Amino acid sequence: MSMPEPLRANILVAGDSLAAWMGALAFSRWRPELAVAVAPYHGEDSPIADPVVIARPEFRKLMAQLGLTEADLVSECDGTFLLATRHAGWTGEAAVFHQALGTFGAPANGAAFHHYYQQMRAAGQAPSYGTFSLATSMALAGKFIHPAANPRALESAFDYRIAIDAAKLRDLAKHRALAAGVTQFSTKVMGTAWSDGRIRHLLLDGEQSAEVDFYLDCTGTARGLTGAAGWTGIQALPYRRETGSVETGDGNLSLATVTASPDRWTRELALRTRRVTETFSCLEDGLAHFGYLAVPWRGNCVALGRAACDLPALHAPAFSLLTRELGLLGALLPADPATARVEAREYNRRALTAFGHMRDAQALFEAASARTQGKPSPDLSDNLARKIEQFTSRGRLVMYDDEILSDSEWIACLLGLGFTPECVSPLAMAASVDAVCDNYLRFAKRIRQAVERMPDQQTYIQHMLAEYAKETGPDAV
Amino acid sequence: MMKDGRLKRIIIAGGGTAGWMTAAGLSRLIRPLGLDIILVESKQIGTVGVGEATLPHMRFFNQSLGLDERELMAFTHATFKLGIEFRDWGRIGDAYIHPFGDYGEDHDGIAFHHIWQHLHAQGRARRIDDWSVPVVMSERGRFAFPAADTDDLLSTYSYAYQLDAGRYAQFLRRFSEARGVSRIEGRIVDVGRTGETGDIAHLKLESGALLEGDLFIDCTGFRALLIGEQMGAQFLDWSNVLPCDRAFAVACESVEPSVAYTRATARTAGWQWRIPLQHRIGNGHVFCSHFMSDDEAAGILMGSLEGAPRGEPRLLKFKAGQRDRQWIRNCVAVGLSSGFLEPLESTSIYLIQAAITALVDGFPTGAVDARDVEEFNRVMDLEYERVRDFLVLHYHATEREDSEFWNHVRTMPIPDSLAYKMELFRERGVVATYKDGLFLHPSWIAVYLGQRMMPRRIDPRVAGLGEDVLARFAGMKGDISSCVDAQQSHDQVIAGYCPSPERSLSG
Ligand SMILES: Cc1cc2nc3c(=O)[nH]c(=O)nc-3n(C[C@H](O)[C@H](O)[C@H](O)COP(=O)(O)OP(=O)(O)OC[C@H]3O[C@@H](n4cnc5c(N)ncnc54)[C@H](O)[C@@H]3O)c2cc1C
Repeated sequence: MSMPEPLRANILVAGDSLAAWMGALAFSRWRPELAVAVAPYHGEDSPIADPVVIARPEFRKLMAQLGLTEADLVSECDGTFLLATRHAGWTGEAAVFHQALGTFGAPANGAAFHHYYQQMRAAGQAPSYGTFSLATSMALAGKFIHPAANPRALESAFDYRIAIDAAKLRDLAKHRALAAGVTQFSTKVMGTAWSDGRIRHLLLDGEQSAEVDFYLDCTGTARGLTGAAGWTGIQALPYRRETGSVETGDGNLSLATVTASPDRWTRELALRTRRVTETFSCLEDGLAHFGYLAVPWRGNCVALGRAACDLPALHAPAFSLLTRELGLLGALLPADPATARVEAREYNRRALTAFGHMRDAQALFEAASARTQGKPSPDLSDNLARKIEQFTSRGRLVMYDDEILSDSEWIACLLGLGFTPECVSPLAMAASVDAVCDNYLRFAKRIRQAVERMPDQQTYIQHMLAEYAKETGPDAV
Repeated sequence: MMKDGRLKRIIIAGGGTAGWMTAAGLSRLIRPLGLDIILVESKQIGTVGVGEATLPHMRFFNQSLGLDERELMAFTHATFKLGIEFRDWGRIGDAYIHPFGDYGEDHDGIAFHHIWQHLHAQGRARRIDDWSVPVVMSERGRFAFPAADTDDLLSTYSYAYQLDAGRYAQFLRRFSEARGVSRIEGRIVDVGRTGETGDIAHLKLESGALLEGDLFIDCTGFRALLIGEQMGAQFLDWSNVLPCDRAFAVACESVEPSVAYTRATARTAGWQWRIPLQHRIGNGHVFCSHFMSDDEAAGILMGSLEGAPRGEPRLLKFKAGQRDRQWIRNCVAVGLSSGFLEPLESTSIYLIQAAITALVDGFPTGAVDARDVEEFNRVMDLEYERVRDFLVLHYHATEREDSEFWNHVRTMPIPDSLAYKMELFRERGVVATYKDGLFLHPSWIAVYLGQRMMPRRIDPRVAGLGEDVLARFAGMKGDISSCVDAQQSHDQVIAGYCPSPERSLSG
């Protein structure tokens, strides 16, 4: 009996994950002339690893390329606009701070606001750092508007993330991808035949095989196509995740909270129709599986999402990295995968840089927490060690190529975690402390007044949904 | 010297562009903390006396000092600069302008130069230059200030100046002295060090006077009197990739309406600059002494001047490279003392500015902190390396085979960092960019394409663009053209905005 003909396409996406369907949708939009197919992987444990994903501003560009809109995310994926995260307990029970996008205070005389804030603090006149951030103040009040276009308006000085129900986003991406002509194979991928650094074909269930030009490994931690070769583990405590969810019709949609204790942390945030709580508790004697693929694009196969990099969940890294990966892949799309050596090399360089940044963002919290508990600090990358050293010496923030967190987030986290500068910029020293306090307290008052005038997010979203319903009609997905 | 552990006195050694920019920057930003700033310079020694072309960043430096642009431009006989024209670099007969602005606009994540290449292949677009507002302005002798509204075509560029650097230093001297900087005339003949720390304690002048200080800024030019001779910073010689080591400079009379760009014409063993100011044109011939004699180089320069020379050509000798450390103990190098990368892309004044910014950022209020020193050196190393790569690109990306010099630079080994960038562009049209790099995407694209490095492959998504999108891009050229045609001439703008008393424009 002869073997059946291999299934053919141009691009085959392995997995049923969010990364898989986002990848498939992306390719169907980027290269509508190509045949894109998606096949499930036999060993994929749970295609939806995160109940909620958080899209950073960088996602907007990609979103436009995928033909998705914010209204889609809010309407179809239970999305909400997330303005700030309240962190508590990382360095002691009472230690609270806010991580938010957009400016905190305003620079003066060439010095960034946090230098002046240190002076206010020394003078005993500093309310919390977040008081000077429009995004934080809006978040605490549960308000939302889109940032103003006029850069001179106070209301332009912030940005936001979008919290999205991951399963619903996966479904939406799948629906759109299938509508755009992506084929779904029902047979599962069972194995991979590599030779000379390239995938020759995939083995499918029922003695079938598939042979295509380009493969995406979106099989999550199973890493079904790429395997364990080149997986670089990182030192981090493993966590067990417990997820809870309660229906909600109201409550603050704009703020997420993260509460940490020595052996666990809990994040709570609101989707449009429910609040989701996730608790990550440390497994002291477990085996850390976190890490990344040293070569995420190898030959004719790119690993996306958790298959490429799996990090602790504090900064919701999975979707930020997927966004970055797809952005890079779009910019480096190979015309012919057989000759894409430089594309792969550049992709790997930049993807690895992004993995490192995301890892550093988490390690900062671990280092701060270890410090307060008198435990040895985890190994820090040179980049993070320099970032901490330069910030604590004189409040200088070192930013590297291709960072993911914004500078204001880094500063808020560094200050909030107790990495206090020993001295401030000389540029900030020239002004009198009274004038500094006076000036910035007035600034904070303007923020409060602006926030008072804003609608709460519930109302804002209702409005948005009404408009969306008018545009799309009752049957739209 | 330091009182109560606080830094009290800064000595700036040298009064060239670097010295006075540093004095101005520190007097505006740091002196309010109650510091004394003293600048010592020697008329007898003089300054390097060249450096007329600048980059847009200089405007931000001037703005941070609160300088009045019109006054500054009139005083320095300045013209506007929208870019640099490179002639004969890729091949003899080629010309392109490296503009201070964007080309076209990206579409759905597709870089514009890929769309242009597609249109070009279809015969619907000739030069990418036609999609750059500042290039078209330069070519047509026009000028307008950039718009703030990002939807406006005129928001897609920036500008710099072409100015008399000697007068810029004078202007900054006036500014600095008005803010309490003391200037001392005198020649430094010796340097006193503190035994236990190795810090510089004082400078000894020819008059016998001792100048004590807490922090010493070395702006002594190529001599690097403090950072090199005293503190032992080694010079990292980059002449293996930037072999030009001499220049003749001479000014000549203006002969035609001034243009808002600098010109760099490749010659047999180097290149020649042409920098139009309001009252004269600055010219210079940069060459490699290994491949050309001084006499021949001077002859080429003098034989190609457009107007009557204003004096004899002056020879300057230099070597490309940087100090391995630019800040050591209480001594910081700013300007030529820290390194020099030849003037092809007008980067020296920018590097002075970058050093001042980094210095202010880590300015010691008490004893020097090793962490500040380390960061300063790291940042400045990055700046130098990235400028170096961009400069080397101009020489290496050539098809010229008409002289030993061009054969040498075309085939020489280049830094890995540049080889990587070039391969990425040549193969796939992607510009590798870095956050801390001075030159952004359009600059690299200008030189790559201007020197005939057409990517082998482009973004495959371009092939799927609809005719409506392609037609819109093709039509953008006309929009730019009519927008520029409506502008005033560069000379008209200068005449109305910042005429210098010595102005002798013909337009
Ligand atoms: C050929 C050429 C062309 C250039 N073109 C450009 C350009 O177009 N754009 C650009 O940005 N840059 C250009 N540059 C670089 C630019 O000229 C310099 O970066 C700039 O002038 C700064 O020089 P400086 O102040 O460091 O040194 P200098 O101008 O040499 O000043 C040194 C100072 O130190 C003093 N000094 C030295 N020794 C002693 C001593 N023993 N005692 C007391 N005082 C002392 C001198 O009197 C002088 O005041 C060019 C350079 C060269 C060589």
